[in-house]
Amino acid sequence: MPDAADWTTGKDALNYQACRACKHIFYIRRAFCPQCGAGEPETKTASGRGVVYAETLVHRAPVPEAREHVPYKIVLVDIEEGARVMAHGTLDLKIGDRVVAGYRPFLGGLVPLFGKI
Amino acid sequence: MSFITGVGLTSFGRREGCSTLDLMSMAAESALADAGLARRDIDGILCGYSTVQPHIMLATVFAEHFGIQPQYAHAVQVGGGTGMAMAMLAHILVSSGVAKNVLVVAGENRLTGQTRDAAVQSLAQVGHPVFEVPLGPTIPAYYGLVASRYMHEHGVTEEDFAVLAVLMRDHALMHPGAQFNEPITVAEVMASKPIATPLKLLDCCPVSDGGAAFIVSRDDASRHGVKVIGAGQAHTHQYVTTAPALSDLGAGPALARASEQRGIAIKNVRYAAIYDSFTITLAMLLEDLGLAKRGEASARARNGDFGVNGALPLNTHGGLLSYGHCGVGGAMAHLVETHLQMTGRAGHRQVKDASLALLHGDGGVLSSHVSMFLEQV
Repeated sequence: MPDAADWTTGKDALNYQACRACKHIFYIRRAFCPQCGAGEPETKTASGRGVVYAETLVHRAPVPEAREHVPYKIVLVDIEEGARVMAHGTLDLKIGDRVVAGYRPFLGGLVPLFGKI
Repeated sequence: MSFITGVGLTSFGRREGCSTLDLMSMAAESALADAGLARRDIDGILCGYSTVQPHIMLATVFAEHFGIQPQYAHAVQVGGGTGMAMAMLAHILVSSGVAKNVLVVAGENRLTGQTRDAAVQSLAQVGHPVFEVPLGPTIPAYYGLVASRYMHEHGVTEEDFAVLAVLMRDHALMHPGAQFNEPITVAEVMASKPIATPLKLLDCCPVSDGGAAFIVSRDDASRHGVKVIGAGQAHTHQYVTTAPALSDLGAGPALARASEQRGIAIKNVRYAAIYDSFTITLAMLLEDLGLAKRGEASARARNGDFGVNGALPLNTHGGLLSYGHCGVGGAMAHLVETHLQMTGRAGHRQVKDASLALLHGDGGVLSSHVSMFLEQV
């Protein structure tokens, strides 16, 4: 597997992958391209800029440890490189907002937190 | 060719002291009796899964418990689409001669067999373990994301969703087995506590105990069989993060595959049984399937079209939203109710004409779709 250091491993970065063969851009990391099957996709670090595609404000936490954080906003963001990512967002975010990623600790890990540019 | 020859359904809600196997057995016993079959007549068993009793071989666990030694048996897992996927597989098994009578059964003590936190937590695992679950989403949050986008693209409102919750509750009031038996209003849905915006408590199906079963047969000895005349599936993604555009979800393709075998026109459908885990799910599926124009599912509901006396009765038992949702058995209740309607046995809920029914289930976050058409014999 390629270098996977980003928020999913505790580093303040957001990575995506690009297929060297068919140029497909994707977010959920794997060792091959899900579109054409070619191996060794390139792992790249995103600029962090994007546009909000969807948003929800979570009032009912899935686990007791998350209760102190409610309400928190979860967003789907289309990053400018062409992938869609799920992340936290500031409470004011609406669909179509131009946003940039920051990071914050959450449930023992680090998660991306998008805010308006 | 195959027929659904018998159905069984427990009441949903709190079934204190009932295990997964108890609820499966109750539903199976009812379905056998309804079909006029004995245990020895069953040569195939398909069952769903139980989140409170996970097992690597649930179908044979059940078969041994219930007292059947089938020629063919295994469990099936397609999330909320499991019930309809099992109906489709049973149809294929029977049509191809592998089995004569397939018992399809599911049940789960999902409400009383665990804490509510455990239920919410286990269901959220349908998301991606690395890229989604650490963000603290819930199933309502995944659907809340979809709902926000649907509202944005099609101009539907939270009141539109609320109308569908009221419709399902109105229907549940006519069924003694339903989990909820208090009427609700649009204002009450709107005022119910927020879960994951725009979804509020009454936009969400409950967690229930319950069981459901049906029998798919090569021959209709019951004399009240209904015929399976088409089935199809579509699976576009697993995670909401990787879902295609709203216009490219799987309901349409699944429907097209189910329709093509007999060239069925959607306008001829007289009864609809549509998966309704959330009000947004029901609104989207009704519109994706062409049972309402885009953005107009609630307008049809307001017009009375989906009522027992309407042009297209829908989920007349109350659906997942108000009959209840015990996991795999939840959507199977839709099929049980459809069978009762098609065979004139729905009592005071009986619709005038259920000669052609469309059933549709989805699993994940609109990830897996199964459509099926049933026809009166």
